[in-house]
Amino acid sequence: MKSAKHFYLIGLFLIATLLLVACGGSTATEDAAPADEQDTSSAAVSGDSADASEEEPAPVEESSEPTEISISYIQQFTDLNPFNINNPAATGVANGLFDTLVRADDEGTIIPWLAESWEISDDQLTITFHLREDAMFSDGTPVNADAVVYSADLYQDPDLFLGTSVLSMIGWEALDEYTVQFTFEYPDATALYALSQPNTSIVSPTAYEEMGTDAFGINPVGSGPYILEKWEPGVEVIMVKNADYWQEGVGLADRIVWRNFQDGASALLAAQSGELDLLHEQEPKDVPLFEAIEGFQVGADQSGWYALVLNTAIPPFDKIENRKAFAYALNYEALLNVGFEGYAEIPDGLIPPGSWAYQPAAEPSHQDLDLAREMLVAAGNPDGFDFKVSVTPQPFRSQLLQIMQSSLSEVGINLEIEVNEFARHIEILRDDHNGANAAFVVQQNLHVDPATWLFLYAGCDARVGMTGWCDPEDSTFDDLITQSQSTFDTDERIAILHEANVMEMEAFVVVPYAFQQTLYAWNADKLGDYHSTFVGGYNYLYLQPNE
Amino acid sequence: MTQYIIRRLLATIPVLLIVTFIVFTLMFLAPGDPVFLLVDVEQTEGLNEEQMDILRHELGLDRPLIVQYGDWLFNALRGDLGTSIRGSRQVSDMLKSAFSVSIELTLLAMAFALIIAIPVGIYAALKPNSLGDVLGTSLAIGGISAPNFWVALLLIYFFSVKLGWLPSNGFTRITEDVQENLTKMVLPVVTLGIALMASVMRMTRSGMLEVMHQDYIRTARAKGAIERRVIFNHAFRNAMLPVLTIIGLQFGALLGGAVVIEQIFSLPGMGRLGLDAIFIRDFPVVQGVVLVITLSYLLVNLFVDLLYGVLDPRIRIS
Repeated sequence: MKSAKHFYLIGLFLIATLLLVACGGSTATEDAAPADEQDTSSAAVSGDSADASEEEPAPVEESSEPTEISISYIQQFTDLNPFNINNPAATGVANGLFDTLVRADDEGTIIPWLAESWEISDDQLTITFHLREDAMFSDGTPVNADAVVYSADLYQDPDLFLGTSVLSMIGWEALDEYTVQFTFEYPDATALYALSQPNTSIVSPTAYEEMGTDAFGINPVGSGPYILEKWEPGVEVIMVKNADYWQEGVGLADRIVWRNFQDGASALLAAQSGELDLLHEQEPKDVPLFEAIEGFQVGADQSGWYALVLNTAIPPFDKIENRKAFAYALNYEALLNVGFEGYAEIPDGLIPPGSWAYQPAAEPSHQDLDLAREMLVAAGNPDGFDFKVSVTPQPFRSQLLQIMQSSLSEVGINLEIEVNEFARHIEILRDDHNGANAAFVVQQNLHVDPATWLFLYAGCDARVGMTGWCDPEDSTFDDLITQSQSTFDTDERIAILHEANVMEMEAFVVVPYAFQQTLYAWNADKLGDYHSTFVGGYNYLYLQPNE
Repeated sequence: MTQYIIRRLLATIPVLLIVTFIVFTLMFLAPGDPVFLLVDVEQTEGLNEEQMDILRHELGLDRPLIVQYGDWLFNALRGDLGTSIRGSRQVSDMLKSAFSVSIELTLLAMAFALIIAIPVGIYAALKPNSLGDVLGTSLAIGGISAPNFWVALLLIYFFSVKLGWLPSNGFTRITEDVQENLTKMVLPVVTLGIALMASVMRMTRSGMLEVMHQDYIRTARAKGAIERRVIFNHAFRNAMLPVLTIIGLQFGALLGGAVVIEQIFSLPGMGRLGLDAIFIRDFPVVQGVVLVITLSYLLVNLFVDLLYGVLDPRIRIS
């Protein structure tokens, strides 16, 4: 009997503990923040506070309190080795932890970063970078030419990570302590864009050698505006300001907390309870709920597109008339207003408005049922046709296809939705020409150069074999892509890319129906104005929280 | 007894072999190339064939099924469960980290459930059709019927969004900060505990109702035993056997991960680790998770079988 009593007493104690903890404070974030903030403040501004305390005990000023931005991310990542980065959230984290030689600004212009300047040789086969001399890694070692060469050894090794990062680059050497020279197999205008991406970050050779690849992926050391403080995979990544960062005005918040959520709905609840300041990868259906949160604003990044890729290897889309009939039968307004809640634009090409190379390549897509019927007659199937679309298991994507179903049925086109697991979906896109008649794709432009995605789906060198759009006797499209990659003059490149864009649109092998990359929401009261960046990776480095 | 335990432990070996082989085969046979999943889905199309072949070879995915399984088994027998194909983490480290979360969640949810369910179940059985019984039974039916993802969202809505008392998700290790750990565990523990509590309460009530009408209870009372002794020493001990079975099964299942709850509350437990690994076809991690889950089930069941003997000496003798 005594043991039974003890059992209940222990049990009651446990419950009481849980309840006390639960009711102990007002909010968890409020509870947790001061403790954390004290730690961070002492670490980040220790010099200033020490000076102040020597003179007289000054009252604590509100502005001296460390600032924090809490950002949600959906897609999980398990490696922070920059050469293994593979999704937008990891890219965002890497942009804070690491520096690259150059960066692309919001307009896509390449700007100096670790390299103060560079010269391109007359034959355009070498680029010489002059590094700034005040940049340091967070382990205290200098960012110099040896570190750049060491990093290039890693990101250019075809057997490591995701393979060669800059395909045209064949040589890299240190000319002196702060000068490096890269050599290219052929003139490559996209090389600087590739060198602005996190996959070509400069890592600390000392830390990498000491830790090895595996451990470095967990405790990365770079020269970025933030230093990794804690990473619990699947839960959160905490970064604190690098007090010795070489550049003013970058990495303004004292602390960035990245919190992982399984889906947008869970993140929304966290935003409603005041635990999040910035959310990406949100679904349009949640827009009214975000707008109802005090101080929150919603924005959309229009540097990507949603499209259906049509399989020209098998009927019905082997005939261009059927492809046109499909494109003219789509109700773009309904997709935009119902599917995207208005947070997207009707496309006029495959280079979106967020891109530096944007130029309308076609009339904005519009529904024309009479023209669609004419095309069906011309194709020899006046009553319409059936086709199957492969889509990955994301409800939002299926919803968009359901909206398409109703408008297509008006001309007798029956769309069958086939939900496939990611690996199977990609297999259908790349290799399996009998897998489906079309595939749902979203182009998220992690790479800022439009040439890299224009040739994904079209031409004889297309990586995605599904469209099968290739004329062996007319290589105009492939030549344009090659030409654009080796043209350094920006205006000339834009003209070439525009021509390729027009050709691809006129072939109707990729039918875009919305310009949009990601929908995001942020606490404007706290963060002020915010816009997502074209180059991907969440534009948080310039946010100054006002609390 | 020792022989019995050894025999049961040896019997786990073929079970583990069969389960891991079946899971490995299913993963291997699933359509689609795992290499496609190693980089971002929207970007994967950009890798050329050469880059993909290198990845396949690096990961050993270009070898026959039986060679891959044999290799994994050989290394596992030496205590090396390999490295995750996505990232560079040791599977054993990932399992250790996730299992500690699942253990904590399971123990707390179990404690929460038992402390409420057993007294309420006993009370309901002793006072059938009373207000307490009706309330307890209604609570149990509600707890069993309500899907735990709905309960979770409801709790988040009230306690995080409306009242602002608790965080809506997240996790801090108990070794880092006890208070923060418990604060973040309250909602997942209560969500899981409610379903557990309901089934244990119903089982306790029905077990006690059945036992209280047995002859030996009448005999105990006739011998002059006080009611508390009759309830706890004679009735409760006998009524506990089916309750113990339920607890054992639930305990094993929870150790293997409460997938939905872990997803909603972002808890890095076994369920989430396993699910994420399945989505990206991370063979070594899936195999490791399956191994741990199977082993947990087998050991918990063995422990429950041994407890039967403690509660009822007749079982021990047989």
